Amino acid sequence: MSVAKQEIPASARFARWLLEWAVRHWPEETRPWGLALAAEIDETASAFETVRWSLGGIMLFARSVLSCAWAWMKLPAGGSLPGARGPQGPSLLPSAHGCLRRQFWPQRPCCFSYQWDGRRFERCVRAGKDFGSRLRISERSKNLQLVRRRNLEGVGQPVPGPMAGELDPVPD
Amino acid sequence: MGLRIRLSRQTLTVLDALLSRPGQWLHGYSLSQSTGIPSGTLYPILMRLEKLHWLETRWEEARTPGRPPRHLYRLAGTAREWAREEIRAAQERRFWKSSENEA
Repeated sequence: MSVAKQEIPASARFARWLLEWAVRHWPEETRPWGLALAAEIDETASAFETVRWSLGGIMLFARSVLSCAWAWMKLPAGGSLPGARGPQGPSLLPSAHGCLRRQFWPQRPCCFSYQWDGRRFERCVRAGKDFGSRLRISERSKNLQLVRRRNLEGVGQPVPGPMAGELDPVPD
Repeated sequence: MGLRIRLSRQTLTVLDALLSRPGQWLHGYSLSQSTGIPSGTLYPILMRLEKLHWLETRWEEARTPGRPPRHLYRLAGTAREWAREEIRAAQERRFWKSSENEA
């Protein structure tokens, strides 16, 4: 005996809607099974049975999506599952992306630790560079003073460039 | 050509239900009712059996307009004998008991 439409409680209606949504987004490979399961919902004897049947369908849907995602992750980057872009509508998993591949995930902790170390290293380098540039600025100004002094004395020639520190020191 | 596999208790229950009416096409919901197995467990079993060619499936003609066609299942001819063997072996190992035997 089917449940009369007028007597369907909100929970059963929501369960039906949820199952319909799942069937719309079901992976292509197992979609006929989703349709088969959804077709039986009209035969349920009570609202409780409807909800129970629908929950089973959602579980099956989740399982199908996970197995499909697993198959998808094993694909080479840029590849797609057979029938993933069918005329039925867009798939949840259009084409494999390198960052979501199975081989990627075990390396993540290493990558994070490397990134952390890398950031620390970068900070050190930056600090060193800043220190170096500060040194260079002070050296440059010192050398400019030396060059000016030489020019004034008419002995030395002005040396262009930032590495003017290579000039011989001028005796005072 | 079907393959032989290790069967769970639920799978044996489904096979027993299918064997109780051999040759007859059954709906998923009636199988669920007769075995007490919920849809989330029943359909993966049916999918596996179909993949192994133990199960024959077909779509029923829609009787009422607006209603989706229903899926029907029955054991394949060769699989019936295998299923009987598996059930017998499981009963001998006391791994599984038929609901009829329990009653």
